[in-house]
Amino acid sequence: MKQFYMDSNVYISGLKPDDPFHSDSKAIVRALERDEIRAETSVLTILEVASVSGRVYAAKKGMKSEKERKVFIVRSLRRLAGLKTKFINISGDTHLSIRGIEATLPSVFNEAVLLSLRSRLKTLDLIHLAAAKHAKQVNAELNALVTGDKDFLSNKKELSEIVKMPVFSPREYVDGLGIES
Amino acid sequence: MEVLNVKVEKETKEKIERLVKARGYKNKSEALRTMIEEHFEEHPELFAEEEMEELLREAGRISDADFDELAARIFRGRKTAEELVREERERA
Repeated sequence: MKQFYMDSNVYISGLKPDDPFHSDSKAIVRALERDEIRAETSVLTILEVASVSGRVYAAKKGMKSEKERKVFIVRSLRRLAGLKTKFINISGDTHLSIRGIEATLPSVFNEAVLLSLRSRLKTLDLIHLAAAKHAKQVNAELNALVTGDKDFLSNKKELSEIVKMPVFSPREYVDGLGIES
Repeated sequence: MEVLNVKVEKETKEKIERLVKARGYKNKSEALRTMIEEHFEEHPELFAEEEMEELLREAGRISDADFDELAARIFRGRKTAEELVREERERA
């Protein structure tokens, strides 16, 4: 069974009919529901999905429906969990020692610091990249990082070398799977 | 108002009495009432589990199909999914 690392924007795109990647992301969601493929993602995705869902709901409906906004966030997370997504957490702490800087930091941050030397991605992008790299090390069956992120897609070659698997847009991944979008 | 009968150590009672004088409360009852309310306001996480249970119950009443329909209405807009997530990453 094909397994891939899913970026948060792929899940959101599957819920957003006017998104450029919607039909492909929706095809990915349907394949996940049918258990034809499996997804892994960073625990950061839980936070991003909650935050984007809550923010967009508030912008659409206003603050008068605070309870409904919270229900929407929780339901959005349940929908994500229903896709049997595995959430990656690089657990534990790591000691960082760089001439004068002595710090104990969560291992995911340490990995992101090391990746910042190889990539120009922003902080939270680096955490996703660290999670994807870790996921691939733990699960050799993982064969793609799927994202709609412009920075990731414009640095495919460099990022593929870091995570040791190809970086695809939802469209490219769906084309590769041979499923209909 | 409801009445609570609470047993406390002598030392605690004396501390409350000192606070009544220092902060100008009318009596021990008002001092304790204010402190309990302040504590609840400062620590909403005390009730987070209870609230989450309620939200999960409410969310459980919405089917996947109904949620997808609602989400389609909520997420519809000029920004792409990528832009919405990117905004979160840039705000952090």
